[in-house]
Amino acid sequence: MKAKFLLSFLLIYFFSPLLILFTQFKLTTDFPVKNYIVSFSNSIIQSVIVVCFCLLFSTVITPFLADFKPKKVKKILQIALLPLVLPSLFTFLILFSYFQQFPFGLLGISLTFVVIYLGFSLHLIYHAYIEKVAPLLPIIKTYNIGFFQHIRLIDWPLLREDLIQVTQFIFLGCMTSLSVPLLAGGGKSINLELFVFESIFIDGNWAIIVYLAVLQIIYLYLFQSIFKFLSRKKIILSEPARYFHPVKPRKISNFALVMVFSYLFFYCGGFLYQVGKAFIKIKTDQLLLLDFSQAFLNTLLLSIATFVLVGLLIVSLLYLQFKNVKYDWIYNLMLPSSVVVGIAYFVLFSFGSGFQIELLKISFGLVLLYGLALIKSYLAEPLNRLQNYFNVAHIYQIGFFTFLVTIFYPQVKKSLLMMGTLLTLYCFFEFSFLKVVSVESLYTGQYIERLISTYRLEHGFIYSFILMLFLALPYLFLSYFLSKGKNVSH
Amino acid sequence: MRQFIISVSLFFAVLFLIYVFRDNGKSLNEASQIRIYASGSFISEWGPGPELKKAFEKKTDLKILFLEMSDPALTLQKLNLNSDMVRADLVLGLDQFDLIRVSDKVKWRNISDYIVLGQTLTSLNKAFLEHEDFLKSDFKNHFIPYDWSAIAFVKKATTTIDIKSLEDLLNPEIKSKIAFEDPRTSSPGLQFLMWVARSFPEDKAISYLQKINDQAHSFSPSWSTAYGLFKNKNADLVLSYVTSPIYHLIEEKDSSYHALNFAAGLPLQIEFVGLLDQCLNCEGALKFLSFIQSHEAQQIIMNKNYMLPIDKNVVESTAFDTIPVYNFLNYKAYTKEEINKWLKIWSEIRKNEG
Repeated sequence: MKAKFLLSFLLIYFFSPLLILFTQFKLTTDFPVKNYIVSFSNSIIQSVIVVCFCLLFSTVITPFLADFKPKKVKKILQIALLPLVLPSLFTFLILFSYFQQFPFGLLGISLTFVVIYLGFSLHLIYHAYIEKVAPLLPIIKTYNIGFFQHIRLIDWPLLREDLIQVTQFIFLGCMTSLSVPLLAGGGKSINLELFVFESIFIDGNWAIIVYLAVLQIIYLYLFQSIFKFLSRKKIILSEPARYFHPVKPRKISNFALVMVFSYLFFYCGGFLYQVGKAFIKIKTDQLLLLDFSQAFLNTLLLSIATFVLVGLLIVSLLYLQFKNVKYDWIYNLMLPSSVVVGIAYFVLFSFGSGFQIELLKISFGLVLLYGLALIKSYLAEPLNRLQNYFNVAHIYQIGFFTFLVTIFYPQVKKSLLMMGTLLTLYCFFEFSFLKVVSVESLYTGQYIERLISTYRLEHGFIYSFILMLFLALPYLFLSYFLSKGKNVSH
Repeated sequence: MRQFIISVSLFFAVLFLIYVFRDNGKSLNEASQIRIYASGSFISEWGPGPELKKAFEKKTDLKILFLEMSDPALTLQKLNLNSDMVRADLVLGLDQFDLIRVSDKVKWRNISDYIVLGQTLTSLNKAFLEHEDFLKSDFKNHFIPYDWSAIAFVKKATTTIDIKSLEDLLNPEIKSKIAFEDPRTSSPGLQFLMWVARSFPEDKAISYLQKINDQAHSFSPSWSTAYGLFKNKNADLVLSYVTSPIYHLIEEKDSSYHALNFAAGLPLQIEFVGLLDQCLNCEGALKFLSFIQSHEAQQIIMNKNYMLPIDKNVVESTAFDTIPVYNFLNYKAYTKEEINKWLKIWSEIRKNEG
C-alpha cells in the first residue's frame, strides 16, 4: 500500500468530525469572545495548578520509589489509575466524605482533578524513570554527580518527552471536563466546556462546537510546537542498561512509598468503603443482573472492535514511520470533546441502524477520543526510539511485517498491555459520548450511570467493583504471560 | 506465547463474528416497529420501559424499540439537524420547561384527539392541566401528559429543623447543608430557579438567590449527584420530588425520608410525550399514545418510575396513596427568553460566589 494513500486516509478520518460539523452548522460571527476568554483563562489556571502539582509530586516521589523493586511498585501504581476511569460521582462522594466543609471553588476543582490525575501522572513518570534514568543510576553514583547536575544533565533530557506527554494529557482532561467544575467549582470557575455547554443549551448556539473543535486543534498544535522546541536536542541512549537492580531502600524512600499508599488509601479506601457499605445494604436478589449481562456482552464486543481499530492505527503509524513518512501532526488532531465527536458521528452514521453500525460508530469515536491520546502517551516515544532499527531494517531489507512481529512487538508489548487496559476501562466506563452519539444497545458505562441516576447509588458502586475485578483478571493473566516472554534489548 | 495470543485472538474473533451477524436478518421493519426516545432510567430493567413494552406488544402486533435520550435539548437538536436522520416516532420525558425551550426545534403532530385519559386529579387539573394559561398554549395539542410529581425538598427524619417556606431555607442552621442541582444542566434545578423567580419580585428574587448560595452544600450537575450527596449524608436536604420517600419506603423499607410541604405551594413537574411530525410508524405510535394513558400503563409507570400517574384512580390503595396532600403552585406560562434571562441572572450571581 502506498504510504501517502494511507496518510490521506488517516487525515480524512481524523478530520471527519470537523468536516461534518462544518457542513451541518452555519458559522456565525457573533462569537462571544469575552466569555470565551474568561472561561479559557479559568480552564488554563485550573489545568496549570493541577499539572504543576501532579508533575511536582510525581517527579519528587519517583526517584525514591526507584529504590524498591520495579515489579512491585508498578503493580501498586496500576491501582492508582482507578480514579481516571471511574465515574466522577464516585470521586466526589469519596472526596466529600473526607471534608466537613468541602473547599468549593478553584481549590475544590484543583483538588478533585489532582485526585483524578495524580495516579496517572505517577504511573507514567515512574515507568519512564525506571526505563530511562534508573539504569544510569550506578554511573551517576560512580561519578558523584550533584543533585542539580543530575536534574539538568540526566533527568530533564531523558524525561522531558514524558513530562510533556503527561502535561498534555492532564491539560486536555481538565479543559474538557464539565462535571468537575460544575460541582466542585462554584460559579466563578466557568471553564471552557461549561462555556460550550451554556452556549449550546441556553443560547442555542450549536455552531460553537465547530469553533471549539478548531480551537482544540490549535491548542494541540501549540503543545506539539512546545514539545518540538523542548526536544530539539535529542538524546538517544544508544545502549541503555536493560536491567536495573535497585539498591537497599533509603529511609526517605519508605516515606515516599507511604505517600503513594496514602494517595491510594485516600481514593481506593474511600471507594472500597462505599462498596462495602453497598454490599451490606443490597441483597443478592436485588442485584438487577439482566441488563448488566447484556450490557457486559455488548461492551466486550465494543472493546474488541475498538482494540481492532486502535491496532490498525498503531500498525498504520508504524508503517508510515517505516516508510519514512512524517505523521507527527496527526497527534494535533486529537479531539477530546465528547460533544464534538458525538454530534459529528451522530450525523455521519445516521444512514442506518443496527448493532454493527453502532459498533462502528462508537469504536471510531472512541479511537478519536482516547485511542490517539493513549498512543501518544504510551507509544509515541518508543516509536521515535525505534528510528535506528528502521534504518537497520532498510539496510538488511527486512520486510514490514517481520519488523512488526520480531522487533516492534517485543519492544512495546508492555506499553501495549497498559494501553489495552486503559482502553478497556474507557470502553467499560464511558457513558457521556454514548449518550451524545445516540445508541440503541446498552453498554456498561451507561448501565452504571442509569443506576446512579435512579436512586440506586449502591448498585452503581457494586457493579463498578465487579467490573474492576473482572477486568483485572485478563490483565493479570496477560501481564503474567508477557513477563514470561523473552525481553529484547533496546 | 505466540500460540496463546493466536488462540485468544481466534476465540474473540469467532465470538465477535457470531454476535455481529446474529441480527443480520433483523432489519428495521418500519410498519411493525415503533421507535421511542426515552430517558435511560425509563428504559432500564427497573424502569417502566420493559414492562410497558411487554404489555403493549401483547396487546398489539407492534414492536417497541426504545432509544436512550441523553438530554431532551440535545435529542431534539439532533432530530432537528436533518429530518432524514429521524429514526424515531415518539419522544417521552419532556417536562414543561423542555416544551418551552426546545419544542419549536422540531415539528410535532397534533395529537389533541388522542387524549383519552381517565379521571385526572382535581388539584392537578386546577393547578396545571386545565389552567387557562396552559389551555391557551399550543402544547395541549402536541403533547400528552403521562406522569407528574411536585418538586420538594427531601430530608431524613433525623433533620428536625422546621422548614415550611422558601424563606425558611435561609435558616442559618442549615447553612451549607442543602444539595441543589445546577439549573443549567438539571431539570429540578431549573424548577427551583423559576420557583424563586415567581415567588418574589425580581429584585428580591435576585437577593434571595444570592443568599441561598450560602445555604447550598453544592449545585450538582445532575439530580443523581445531588441525591447521591444527600444519601451519603453530605447534605441534610436535597431538592427532589415528593415521590422520593416512596422509593425508599418500597425498595428499601425505610420510612425515614420525608418530603417537605411548603404552605405557599410546590412547583409541579409534568412529563409529556410528543409525536414527531416525521414519524415513520405514525399509526402505531398513535396506538402507543392511547396505551400510555390506559390504567394498565399508568400503573406500570407509577410503580416503576416513582412518579404519580395522571389517572388518579391508579393511585388508590397503593403506597402512593400515602403521599400527603401538598399545595401546588399554578401553571405559569414562561417564554424561552424569560427562562434564559433567569439562567443568566443565576449564572451571574454564581460567578460572584465560590
